[in-house]
Amino acid sequence: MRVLTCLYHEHNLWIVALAAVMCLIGSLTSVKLFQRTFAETGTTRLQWCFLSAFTAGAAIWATHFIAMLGYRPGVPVTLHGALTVLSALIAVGGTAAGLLVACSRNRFVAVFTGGGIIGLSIASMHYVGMFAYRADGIVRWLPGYVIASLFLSVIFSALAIDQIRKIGMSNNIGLGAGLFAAAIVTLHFTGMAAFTVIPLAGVQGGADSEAFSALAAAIAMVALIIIGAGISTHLVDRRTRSKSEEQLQYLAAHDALTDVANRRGFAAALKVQCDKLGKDGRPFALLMIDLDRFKPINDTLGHPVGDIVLQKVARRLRHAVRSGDIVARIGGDEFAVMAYGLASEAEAEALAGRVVEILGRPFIIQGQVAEIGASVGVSLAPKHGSDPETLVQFTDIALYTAKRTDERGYRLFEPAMQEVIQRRRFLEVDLRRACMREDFKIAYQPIIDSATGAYTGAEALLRWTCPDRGEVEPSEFIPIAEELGLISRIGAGVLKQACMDAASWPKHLDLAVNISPVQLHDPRLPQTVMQALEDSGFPATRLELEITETALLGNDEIVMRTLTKLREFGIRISLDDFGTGYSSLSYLHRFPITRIKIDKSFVQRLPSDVGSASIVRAIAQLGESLQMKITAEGIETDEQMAFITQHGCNDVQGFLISRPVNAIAIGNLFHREKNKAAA
Amino acid sequence: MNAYTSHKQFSRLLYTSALNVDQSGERPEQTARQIAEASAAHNRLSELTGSLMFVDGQFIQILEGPPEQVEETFEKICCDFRHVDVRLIDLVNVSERLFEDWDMACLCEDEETSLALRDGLQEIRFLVGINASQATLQMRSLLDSQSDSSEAGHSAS
Repeated sequence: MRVLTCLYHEHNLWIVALAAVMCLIGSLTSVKLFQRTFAETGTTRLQWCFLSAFTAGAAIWATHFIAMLGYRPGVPVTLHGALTVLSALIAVGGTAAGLLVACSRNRFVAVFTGGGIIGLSIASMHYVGMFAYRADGIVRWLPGYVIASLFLSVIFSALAIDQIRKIGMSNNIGLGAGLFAAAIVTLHFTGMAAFTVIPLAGVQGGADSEAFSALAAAIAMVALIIIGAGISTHLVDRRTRSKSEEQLQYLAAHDALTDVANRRGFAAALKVQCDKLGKDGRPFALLMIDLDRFKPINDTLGHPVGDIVLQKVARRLRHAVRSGDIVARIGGDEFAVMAYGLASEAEAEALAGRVVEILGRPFIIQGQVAEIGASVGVSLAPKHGSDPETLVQFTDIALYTAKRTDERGYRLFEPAMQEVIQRRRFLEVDLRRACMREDFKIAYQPIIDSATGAYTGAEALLRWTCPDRGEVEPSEFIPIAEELGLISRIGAGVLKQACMDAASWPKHLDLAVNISPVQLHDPRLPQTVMQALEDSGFPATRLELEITETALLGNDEIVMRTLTKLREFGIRISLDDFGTGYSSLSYLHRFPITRIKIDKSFVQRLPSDVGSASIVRAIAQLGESLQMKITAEGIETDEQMAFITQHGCNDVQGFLISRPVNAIAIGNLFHREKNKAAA
Repeated sequence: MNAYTSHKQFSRLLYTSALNVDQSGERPEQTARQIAEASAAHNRLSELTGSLMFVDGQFIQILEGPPEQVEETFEKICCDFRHVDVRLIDLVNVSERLFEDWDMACLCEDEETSLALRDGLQEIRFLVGINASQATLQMRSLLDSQSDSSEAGHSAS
């Protein structure tokens, strides 16, 4: 009670109000700086501690001093200069010491010792200040209030420190500042309640209240300047710090070369969009873009040129998308786009089309022309999925499909694609296993002389029965085996097995084995072939290797050397599927080819189709004049057989003669025939 | 002629493209003319010269100037969706400009085109696919004959 009556009756309320404002501003600033001190480490912490202590000390002292000036003891008053200055130093020094202790990791030490030191330093500042306050009267101290003031100050300071440590760097400083202000204010007014002055009789009363008001205002100004300096230091520092943090964040989320988002930044943006989908988010499209023919640019024009191409690609992509869409480089030559608010599949496809179009245009870099292209996979959220993993996976599947099958260069995800990919993955695994176990079978299709009808040999055909999926067509599994790099191994196995099987056939019968383009480009092929012949004892002159025209494209140096070597051994070379590919006639005389096999697509349209008939006739004549043998494949009817025989194809094979049969069956067939001829 | 002309300091680029029908509006010739005018304005600021032909919905454009500027301008064209089917026909280093007097000469086929010009344009269009340098020279001579025949020709001197 005495605290309030003292406050009301013995103070100039305007000056008290000024002290209160001082105290509040000072506390808020101090708490902000305390937070910062706690957050820093090392020397920086010491510097912030110094700044905090100076600001808080100025606030504490100014509050006390202004309030003192508002005190009206009713007697003349003088101030002791040295003690007044000392009281200010105590406030600063005590706060600094308390803060350093309050930085301790131990909460108990920090709160009670640190808070206690601050509370006691506020108190000692106050009572030293009171000694500097010389009132001409009988001064009496009430010990109960003194003790109470000490307790209150320590408790409030400790609570304030505890609160500030709890809130970390957040802006929620109200409670902390309130507690700190309470520590200052309760100490002061409880302390003042402990102080009474009884005027001496005969001494003229009253301090010079006008001079005191001016002094109060001056002190308040100086203190505010100190506090202002403290807070502005904090703000400036925070701004530069947040700016450099922003820069760091930008660098972490962007690709340094192209200045578009990087994989990390893109993943974050995708996650944000996916999270938004739950609560009325806009639909969006995810595009993944893979550059075609980029690697040759790096290889032939150099990496610096490749880097410029990537920069231009990023810039073109930003032209192709609408503003607000996100472009990212998520790998070496992989880009991604997130396009917002696309209402329909048609819009998404139009965007993908723009991307393919713009990246298909030529690039000029330092006078060099680079032509690349792009394949694009597209998925739509939330239609195809609403979490990042699913969307990325589906877009990848669409991209994979686009790369393989689409002439437009882009594909929108369809659930059916998953099955295709799934089957392909299973086939890859099974094919590797089959390759290790040599699980392949060979079927043989007999070939007959069209004039006599006698067997001339057989073509070995690769067969694979997958344990889980049944028989798989060669047209499906051979490309996979080629891509996985398994074909040379499989091919070598087939060659060896076929030679073994054919070694038991009658001596006049030949063996034809298919060689894939990958095998043909492998310089070790002649060695593999010779090994197979040696192991089986099958003579080289009875072996014919069938190659396709596509194998002759590209690097024909190696192919030419390989074929020439094979020919030298006495092995014959036939050109398979003639008429379907490039059918360049120059191949026929450049490479050592001994036989042409007319593709079955022509034979099967015989004899009614005039065009096919002319082609077959022309190839037969070509073979005759180049002194090559001609085989017609895929004979199914007697009419076809009659036409072929009439137009001079030497050999024929097809279902009409026999379907492909297994090794035992073909052996039996050939031996029966031989015995029949002998008998 | 100065000392630098002995070096091949300029690039000359010839490309063809088609006008994007979706974005060309009612009158494609007008769009073509606008493109030529914008291009001429841009070229006045840079050091580029050249010629733009528009025939049967197809652009045939020549850009010549310092290599970096040619490169930059072509990149801009490649980012422009008013063009489709952009094909780079020829890029050569040359010591002299052929279109020195034209920021961007425009030869566009429209209703008022004379029969002679129309024939000339068709011939160039045919030549571009076969012999790029011949087509370039033909464009230059077509421009010359145009400025001879009309008083309101370009302010070439």
